[in-house]
Amino acid sequence: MLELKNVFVTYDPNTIFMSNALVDISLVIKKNESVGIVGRIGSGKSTLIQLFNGLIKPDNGTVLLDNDDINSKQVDIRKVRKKVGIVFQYPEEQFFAETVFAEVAFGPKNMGVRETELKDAVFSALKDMGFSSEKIAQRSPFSLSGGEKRRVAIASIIAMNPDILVLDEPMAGMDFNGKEKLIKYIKNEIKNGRTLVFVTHNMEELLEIADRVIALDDGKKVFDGRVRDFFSDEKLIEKIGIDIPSVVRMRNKLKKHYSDIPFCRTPMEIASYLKKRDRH
Amino acid sequence: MIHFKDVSFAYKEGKWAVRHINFTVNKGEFVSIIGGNGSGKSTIARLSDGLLLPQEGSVFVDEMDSRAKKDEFLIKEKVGIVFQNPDNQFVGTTVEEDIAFGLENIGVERMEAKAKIEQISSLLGIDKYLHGSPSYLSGGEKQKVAIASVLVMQPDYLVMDEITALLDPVSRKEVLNLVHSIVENKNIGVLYITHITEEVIKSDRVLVLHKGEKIKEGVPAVILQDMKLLNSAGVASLPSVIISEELRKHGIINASFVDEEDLVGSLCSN
Repeated sequence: MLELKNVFVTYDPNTIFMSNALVDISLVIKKNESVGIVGRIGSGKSTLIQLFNGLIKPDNGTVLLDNDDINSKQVDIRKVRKKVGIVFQYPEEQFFAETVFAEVAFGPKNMGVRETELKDAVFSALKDMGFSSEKIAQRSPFSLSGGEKRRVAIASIIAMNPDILVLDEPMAGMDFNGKEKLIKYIKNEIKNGRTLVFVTHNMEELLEIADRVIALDDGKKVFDGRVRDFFSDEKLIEKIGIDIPSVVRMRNKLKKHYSDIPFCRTPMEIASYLKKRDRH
Repeated sequence: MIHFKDVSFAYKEGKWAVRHINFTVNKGEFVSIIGGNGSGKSTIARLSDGLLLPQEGSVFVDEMDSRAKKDEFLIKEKVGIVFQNPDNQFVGTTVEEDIAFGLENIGVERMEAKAKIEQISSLLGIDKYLHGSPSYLSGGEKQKVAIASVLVMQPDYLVMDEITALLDPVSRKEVLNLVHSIVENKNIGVLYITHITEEVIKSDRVLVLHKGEKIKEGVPAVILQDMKLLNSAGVASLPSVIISEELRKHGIINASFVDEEDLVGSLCSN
């Protein structure tokens, strides 16, 4: 469990450039949850996730991982970073190794995973991200397609077997096929018990993957709750510059005629409801 | 008219980025190109004003061949391009200077330039930012400045390469609506390049690009109903079409709807 208690982060304190990146943020991320973080550019999303593994320290307040303050001297930050794995935006831009294997093995190796277990960790992470053939491991990561690169980059964090996987805009710059695949593998991670936190601008993505939404505006937490409640708060949605996804819009309009239509996350869910109704 | 006539282009010999491309964009027309990553979309943008020259076939702008040295500048005057990242396009320290850059280069007199800039920026709703720095603007506003700098040159054609890709959903809609209203008022031909299916709904025609080849061309109502085609091109289908197709298979409705209002209307009428 990850917990933030009254966290404040200030950039350039005591200068004229001083700005509050995060103001009094408290939140809890429980095991096996899937949480989407949304908000405008500059609302504090990236700052927030960097608090999760101690890359940024709060100016005030505490960050607790399994009840330990991660910024206290008694806590080994390396262990924190093994438990909380962050994949930043466009991670493939930081590839450096000659083979996919070396790229994915880099993290666990640094975390002290032994040579005998390393191979298993790497192949199991690659398999999680949809690479079933072991041949991929010997290829150069630079020779892969955009979608494959992204999945290798995520595999390199999964190889450390983190309890909490944090993804910053995981679908950015990817086309439809790449997105579809990645959504499938990410959903599998959740099913297999991994806790997921992801930052996104894409509401379809949020709708498909997240159980819960945390919305930030100007460094403050303005919403924390279920996805369906988020999309029914029209005032809030407008305030933080979000477009209601087509699926939600259609479902809401259909509700006037079909009063028992449930909340739907995908077009197929709407279709299934209408088909079931037709049968009666 | 922008006219691609059997155009092929390769960055590296033997590896075609686009192959045998044919299409036209007339003045006053809004033509979209949709395709996934690596489909050749951006290459077409760069071929359309002579930034790249085809190895095979020809690109004509109002009958001028893009390979003819003598017409190089005339073509660049006629075709304005806006790219994905507005930050790469800024040259001035104020928004006004930025928009003025092109006009100054072709020797437009100061007062005349000022009048033109004021007119364009009020049309795009950025007149209040003219004396500020472009770097403090939001993504959507920056992209409007980039569009203004191109429009102020009074091009006959506008080529837009993924101009909304870095914008948030609300500014994305705003910028797209703005582009549509400009075309309607100014008799400009637009080539609009995107990977977002929703953005091509209001086009006159849509070209689907896949691995450098045009696999289909038609009006949006037809193209957007073809889920198989879009899938194979790496492009998402509209939720309204996904629902319609599924319901049609089961005989619940008998048409496919691109417009979500139409779908909802049809479902609520019976």
